[in-house]
Amino acid sequence: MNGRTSRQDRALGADLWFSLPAPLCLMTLLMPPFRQAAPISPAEPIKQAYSLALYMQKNTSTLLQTYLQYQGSPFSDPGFSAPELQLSSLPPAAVSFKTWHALEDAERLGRAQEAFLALTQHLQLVGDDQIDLNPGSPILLAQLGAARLRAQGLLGNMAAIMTALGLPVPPEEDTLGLVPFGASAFERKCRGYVVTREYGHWTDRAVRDLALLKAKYSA
Amino acid sequence: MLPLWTRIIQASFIFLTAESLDALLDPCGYINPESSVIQLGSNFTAVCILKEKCMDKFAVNGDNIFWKTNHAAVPKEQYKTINKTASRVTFTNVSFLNTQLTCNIYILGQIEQNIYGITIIAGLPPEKPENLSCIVNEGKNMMCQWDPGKKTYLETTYTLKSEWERRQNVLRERATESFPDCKPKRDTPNLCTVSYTPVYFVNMEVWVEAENALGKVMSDHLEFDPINKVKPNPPSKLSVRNAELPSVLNLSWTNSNLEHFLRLKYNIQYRAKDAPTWSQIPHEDTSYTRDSFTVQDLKPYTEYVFRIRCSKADGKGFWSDWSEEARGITYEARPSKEPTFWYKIDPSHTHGYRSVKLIWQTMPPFEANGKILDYEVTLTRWKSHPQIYRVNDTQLIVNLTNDRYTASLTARNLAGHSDASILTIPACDFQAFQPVADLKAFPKDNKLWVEWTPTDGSVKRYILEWCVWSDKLPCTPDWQQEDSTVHLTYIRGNLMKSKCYLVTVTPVYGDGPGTPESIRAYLKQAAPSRGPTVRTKKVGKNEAVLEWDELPVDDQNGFIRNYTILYKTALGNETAVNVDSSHTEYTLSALTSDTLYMVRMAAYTDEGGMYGPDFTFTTPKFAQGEIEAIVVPVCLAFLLTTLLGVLLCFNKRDFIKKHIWPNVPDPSKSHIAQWSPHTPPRHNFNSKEQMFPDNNFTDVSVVEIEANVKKPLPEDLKSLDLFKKEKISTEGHSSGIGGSSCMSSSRPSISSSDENESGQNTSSNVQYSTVVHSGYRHQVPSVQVFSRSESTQPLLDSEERPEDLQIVNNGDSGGDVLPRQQYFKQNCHQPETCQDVPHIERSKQASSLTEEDFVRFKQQPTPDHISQPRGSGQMKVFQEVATADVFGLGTQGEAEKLGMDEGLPKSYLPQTVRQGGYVPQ
Repeated sequence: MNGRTSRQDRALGADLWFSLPAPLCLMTLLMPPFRQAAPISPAEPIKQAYSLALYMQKNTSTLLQTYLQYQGSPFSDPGFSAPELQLSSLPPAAVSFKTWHALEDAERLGRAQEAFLALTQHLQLVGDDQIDLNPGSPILLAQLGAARLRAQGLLGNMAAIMTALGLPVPPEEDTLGLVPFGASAFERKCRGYVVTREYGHWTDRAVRDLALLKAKYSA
Repeated sequence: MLPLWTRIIQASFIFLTAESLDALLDPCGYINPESSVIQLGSNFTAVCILKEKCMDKFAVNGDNIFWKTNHAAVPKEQYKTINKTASRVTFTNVSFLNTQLTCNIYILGQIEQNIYGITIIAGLPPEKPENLSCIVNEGKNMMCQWDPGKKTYLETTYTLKSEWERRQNVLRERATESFPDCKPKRDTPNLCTVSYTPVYFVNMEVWVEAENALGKVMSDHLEFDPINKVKPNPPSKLSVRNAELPSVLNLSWTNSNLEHFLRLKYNIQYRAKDAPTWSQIPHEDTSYTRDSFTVQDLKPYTEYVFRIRCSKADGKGFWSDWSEEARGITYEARPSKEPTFWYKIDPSHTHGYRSVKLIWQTMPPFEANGKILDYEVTLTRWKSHPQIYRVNDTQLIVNLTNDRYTASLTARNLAGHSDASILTIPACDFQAFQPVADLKAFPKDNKLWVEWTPTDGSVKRYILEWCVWSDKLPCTPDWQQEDSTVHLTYIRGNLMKSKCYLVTVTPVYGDGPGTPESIRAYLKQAAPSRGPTVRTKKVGKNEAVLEWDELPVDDQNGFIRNYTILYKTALGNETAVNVDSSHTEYTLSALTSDTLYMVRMAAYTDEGGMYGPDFTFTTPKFAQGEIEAIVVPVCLAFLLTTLLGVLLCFNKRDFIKKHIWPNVPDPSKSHIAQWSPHTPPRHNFNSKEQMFPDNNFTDVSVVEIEANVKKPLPEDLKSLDLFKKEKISTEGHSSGIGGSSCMSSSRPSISSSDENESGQNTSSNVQYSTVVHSGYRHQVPSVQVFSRSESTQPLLDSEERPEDLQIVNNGDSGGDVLPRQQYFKQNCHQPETCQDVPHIERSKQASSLTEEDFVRFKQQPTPDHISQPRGSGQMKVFQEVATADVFGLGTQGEAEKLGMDEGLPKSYLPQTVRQGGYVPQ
């Protein structure tokens, strides 16, 4: 129901589409889980989440390359890189090893969940941008869609791990609300670049997170 | 009246038309419920309610309602009038699928009017879809299929629904999007391929919803991680590379993209190029992700085919299809076994040397281990320098002395030499060693097996040779070599069915070969190509000896086990006889004589028989010798009877004569008889009969009787005639047999006298004597007139003796037999003359008839003193004869003298008279 409303809203106009869906989505995300899953061994969901993260990792660089390729110069120029570009709505994946290592499982998972939740929404945003900017690029759109689905999946897997570990699912945060309205095409392309790049970074970080968990909870 | 009626009808028509139109626009009633879909087998009830205004207008009520389904009236039992305006119809256990139900009334009692109609559609609610299964072909979207269950007869939609798994409810609840439903395509209603990219490593749930007008049902939910439903793409770019060892090949390939995020396991299969089945590399060696593999334990110099497939290492998911096949050839290795080796000695033996053909066979690839470049043959005579030959062929013909040789053979390929086969060619005077024992050959599993028992433990190997045993083709043996441990093997050659094979087994010892043992065998026997051709060797009255040739080997097609002979008569049943195959003849006994028999014969092998051509023969009516056995006794009996008859006739000749040809007096003769005394001719006769020396001649007594009793003279004459006649007949016979007997010469005289006498007695007599005479005449020239006297007597003696005796008996009354005999004896030297008289008479007579006879007489050599005067003049001879007679008589006894005297002049007289009688002619 939520998805449907948001889609309808988006269809109204580029300026308007941001207003409605985000609060609705947030509303749903803020709701506590219906039921606590029966205590199951965390090893299985960890393993599955780890496999998914690895699987996503294999595709992230391809996604970034494909994205840049479709955006034209300067994005498609060889060796294009703009590490200074950031989105305030997306938590940065970069973290010092010391900090990362010191994190509790719950916190580590919570941060990842937060990031991927933001990423799923941002990937949706980028996908919608690209429908406008590059309507004749089904490969890119498919890859963006697949990435979003995988991010959703990973989100679910992480939730399952947290459930299995008996950790509370972290509260939802409004991410997209911080995205400025009325972005130009270039801005949107830049935004998409940051999202696909950060998607890769967060995937890498999730692999590390889960590898750690996997080592911890295996057997 | 007529226009009035027409007007009424018109009016009523218009009224009705208007009313029906009104009915169409505004129905007179309705059915409750409206058109509906019902379940098959359920009950259905509908009520038709009429409107008040129609009821008034047409004056109908609920009783006038009737129902129809698809224009067929519904039986009255199925509906009933509820009240004045309504009728209710009920269908129980509905079995129709699509029906038009109408409610109707009769207007004016007979016009059918439709009030309302509904459509009833029957079907079944969908069954719960079962066996839902999904597969994710790598690179494609997930596809699921299911079993829809029983047919519904209604339009039923199936929807494949997918969701994140319930366990991850957090995700589901938070997800901004659910997965789109999947609607099957029309042509594949039970199969659907989802539109979204599968999300591996996230559990999801799928189920199918089936829905139609009668219901909606959901299948069980299927929960899975799509990665566990993956069917990977097969490994690609499979390639084969030689390793350093001849028994090893390296495989390499490119994995599917799945290798990047999951572990794979493989099936690697290989086979030699021509092998029908695949070998598989053990699972434990291929249970993890890899992109190359070294296949070991391969045969050298063999082309192998490889293929590979993969699947998820944990076994969840599907195996990929097989990759494309790849081929590789292993390196060569040195031949693994020594070649086979055997020899043949040319039987045409030249002095001091023998031509030996060394033969071997192309090594099978699994022993050759490469391409055989050549063979090396080393021949060593006792202690002499070895000769080495390099041969590309598989045979070598060498001239060897009669000494013992040792030959060794090695095969060479790129990788090296084989071990050597050693063969000892024994010296010329070598005595072959022991043969194998109990050689047997038998077919089994479409192969011809040969089994034997070794008699000596030191056998190095065995040589099996075989060839087709045929009359048409020479035996060109094929051969194979067996190890010393082998005592049962099959012939590795293309053997033909129904051909006789001569299999020879030769044991080969260290010092030379043993004696070959042979046996004949068939790979597969068949019925003979043709049957034996049977023929009769001997046919008897009740038996026949059949014989046949053994079938030629080429026609036998198997071992002839027995023969069957079928024989029958034209009408009778066929009789079958089985004959052992060792026989080539058989005697059919108890046959019917003089019958046509049809015989055919079959030769039987173990596999069946074949009949030869039909053969017919007829048994004879009589056995051999039977005809003779019948005919000879019959002939003998006949002969005996004839003889007895003849003898009887002889004995009873008087009696017979009296009864059959009584002496009828000749009128002409009678004249003469009256006229002339009988004595002289009779005397003449007597004198003639005096030729028989031993007999007391009856003529004398006749004369006596004549002299004494005149009356029985005709009788006597008759008997005499008979006698003469018989004599003629016997003479005729004897002349036919003997030819030159004196009787034959005497015959004419008799016949001449016959002519005289028969002329006197009967005309038939004359004729008869003439016939005999004319037949005889041809022989006359050869007859010696003079020899007559000597030869006639014994013949007459034998022939006339019975008669003589009779006459003697008759003449007993006379009493003086002895003196008469004497008289005859005394006269014995003169009978020629006596006989000649009639002879001359006859010739004279003849001369009167034919000049020829006379000339013949003249021509006859006539050294005799009598013939000369006969030729000069008959009268003179006559006189001489007369004087001789007289003289002879003169010396006789008195009693006779009287008769004689009386007869002599008498005899002269008729002669002269007769002559005189002729004269006038």
